[in-house]
Amino acid sequence: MTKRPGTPRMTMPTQLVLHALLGEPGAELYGLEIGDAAGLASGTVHPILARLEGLGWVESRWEDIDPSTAGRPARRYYRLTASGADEARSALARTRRTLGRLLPQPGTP
Amino acid sequence: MSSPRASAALAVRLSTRMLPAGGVRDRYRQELVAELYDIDKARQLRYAARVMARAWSLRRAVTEENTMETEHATTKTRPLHCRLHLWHHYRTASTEDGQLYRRCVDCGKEKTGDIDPEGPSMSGRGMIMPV
Repeated sequence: MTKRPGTPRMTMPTQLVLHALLGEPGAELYGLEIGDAAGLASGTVHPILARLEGLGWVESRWEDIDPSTAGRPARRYYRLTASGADEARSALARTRRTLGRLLPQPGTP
Repeated sequence: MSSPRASAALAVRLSTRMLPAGGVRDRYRQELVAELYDIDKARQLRYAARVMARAWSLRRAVTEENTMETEHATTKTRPLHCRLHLWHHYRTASTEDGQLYRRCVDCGKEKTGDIDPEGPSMSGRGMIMPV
């Protein structure tokens, strides 16, 4: 299968991360929250986010807190860019269509 | 919210040593250590172990800079040898979650038939399709 340019490989973990981000449009989530929402183990999420960020689908920023007051370091928050959200929806839809073609339909012998 | 276990923080810091020195390493070190603060101490070592296990994937993700995507995107037309399926320049690439696969750097075609031991991706990789 030839992959479209500028599209990440739509592995199941990547799809889960995109679903998690699309599930709360506009919301900013940090790595652990995304992992929890996607049901993925820690360590899996950050490489996916790094690639999505490299493609411009996701943007990130440091949390604006005073670490000494908060008692913890600032978190890195991620969210889908506007174009990234569109691309993600399209890519997920394409994957669903591909699966629909490849998988046998219920009731067919 | 208390400081993470020293051993977990050390393991996370060590795993980021695989990343290129400078801003990228500093960023992920700070980001991953910050996440330890949200995990109860009993689970912190497991978190650190998983981060270490995926350190190579993270390195590939931040260093490849989607090289393959750029190469593919800048190729205006597929070379003749690709269009005619004479040969492809297959090169090993990795998925976002670290699985390796073969892909042509000229046209982006993925080599089929190499089924993952961990199961096929949902994009059809690993599913045998006629060439």
